[in-house]
Amino acid sequence: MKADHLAKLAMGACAVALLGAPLALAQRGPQTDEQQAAQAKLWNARPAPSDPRDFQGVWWTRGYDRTFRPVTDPFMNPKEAAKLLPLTPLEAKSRQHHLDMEEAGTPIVDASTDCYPHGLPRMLASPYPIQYNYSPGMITVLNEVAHNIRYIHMDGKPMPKNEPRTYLGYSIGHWEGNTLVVETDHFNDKTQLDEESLSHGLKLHLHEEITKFTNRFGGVELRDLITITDPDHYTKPWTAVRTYPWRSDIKVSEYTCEENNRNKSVNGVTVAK
Amino acid sequence: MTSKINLMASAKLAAIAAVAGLALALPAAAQPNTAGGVPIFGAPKPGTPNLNGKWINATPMVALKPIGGGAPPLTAKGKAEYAKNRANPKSDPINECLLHGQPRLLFTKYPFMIMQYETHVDFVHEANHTFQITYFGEKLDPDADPIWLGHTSAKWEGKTLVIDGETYNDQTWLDYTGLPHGTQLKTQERFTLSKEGKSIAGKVTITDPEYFTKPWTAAFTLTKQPGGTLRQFACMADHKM
Repeated sequence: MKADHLAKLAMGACAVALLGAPLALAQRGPQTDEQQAAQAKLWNARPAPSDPRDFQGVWWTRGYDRTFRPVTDPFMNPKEAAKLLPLTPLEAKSRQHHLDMEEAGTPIVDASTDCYPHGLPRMLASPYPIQYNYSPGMITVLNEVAHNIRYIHMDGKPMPKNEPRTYLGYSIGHWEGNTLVVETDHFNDKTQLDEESLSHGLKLHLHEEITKFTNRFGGVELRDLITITDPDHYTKPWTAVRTYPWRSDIKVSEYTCEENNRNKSVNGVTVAK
Repeated sequence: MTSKINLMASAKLAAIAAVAGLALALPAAAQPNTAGGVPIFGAPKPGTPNLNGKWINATPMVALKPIGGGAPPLTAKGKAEYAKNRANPKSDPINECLLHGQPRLLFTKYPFMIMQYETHVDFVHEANHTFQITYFGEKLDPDADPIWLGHTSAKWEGKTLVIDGETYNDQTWLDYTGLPHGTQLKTQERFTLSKEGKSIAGKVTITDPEYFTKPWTAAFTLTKQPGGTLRQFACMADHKM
């Protein structure tokens, strides 16, 4: 990754760290301070681990935004922020095709439609809980959605060169202060970038910076700054964000996509039945 | 990036943060010990064996058989269903990438991780990227919806980890030969770590009055594997079993 991009990203991390609360507020719609304080109290009845590098436990993103968009300040709704996406002509055409097909009632299938792993970053937008587990050399993220499991290799080895391409790619991580920095490569091209319309190819590379913070209501959250690089689809790297509140009040449950999949694809499109 | 994508200058940010009293950085903490780059937090409950690590069934089991030999004590209904499954091995649910169910997940040829914490113990399987999270002392609800891996509760009996499971659906096979079960199935898995920590002596007791005339117990052995990494597994794509 180029140095200037890293510098921008570092600045981005700083900016969003400070602006996390209003961003989150804007994303989840109107709620009074009292409501949010009560929510934080419920969700943190059993406190999150106190160490800033301990993410172990259950987290659950708020609401459901099925799009990834560039982080902006002030917050822009997804439709407005879509105008800022640095699309290549290839991706612009592809995106419009996805939108047209959905408008026609026959959305194009992606991997998860047929119960393959969701891919990244698409899985990061899933509206289902996740659980972080730590073990020597590896951080494991158990995703309720379609029993996806993400492995983040922490043993300090460089990105392997001959790793097979997979739906979730190959992730290596390290700590920069209290931020977990994750690089992911070796993706196949069978997944979408987001659920709505964005695609990626074999050149996709993800850089994530995952940080734990406390919001102004006392609730603890993880913030994942996701920088997407794919020169075939995007003219420059761009950064999206997701936050995941600590949820001591829930557990990750069983989810079986393969059972009676009503959305299964037919000739490359899906019509929910 | 465009100016809108560019995030604000740090001075402006600081001013906004000061006014709004926004997100607080967590306090710096003493850096914990690490293992392979991962900070060590939490641990198995003091005084309990540590089953953490990567394991594999020493001899992947095609047919689940009672300790001491003989055949599983099938009822008449169980025999009829078993015959039907044996005559049609292609109807094995895992051929459709459905979850293996229990205890079958312990008998695949793929490794799995045991991740043991004070409050819960998680089995993370390479096979069909499946995981099961079990809390210690979980109160099981007999009226819970039946599911593929059942609802489970863990406890310690001396040095043995015991996992009770119930409220399974009836869509899975108990083994690769098509041994059936119904929704009355209850399982009890027992895991006892060897003294040197390189193997686990396992037992599973099957109770299902609809399909078996009496509870019966099978034994298995897990062996410790080097390393702590599992591979990605996409059943639908390239792992037809």
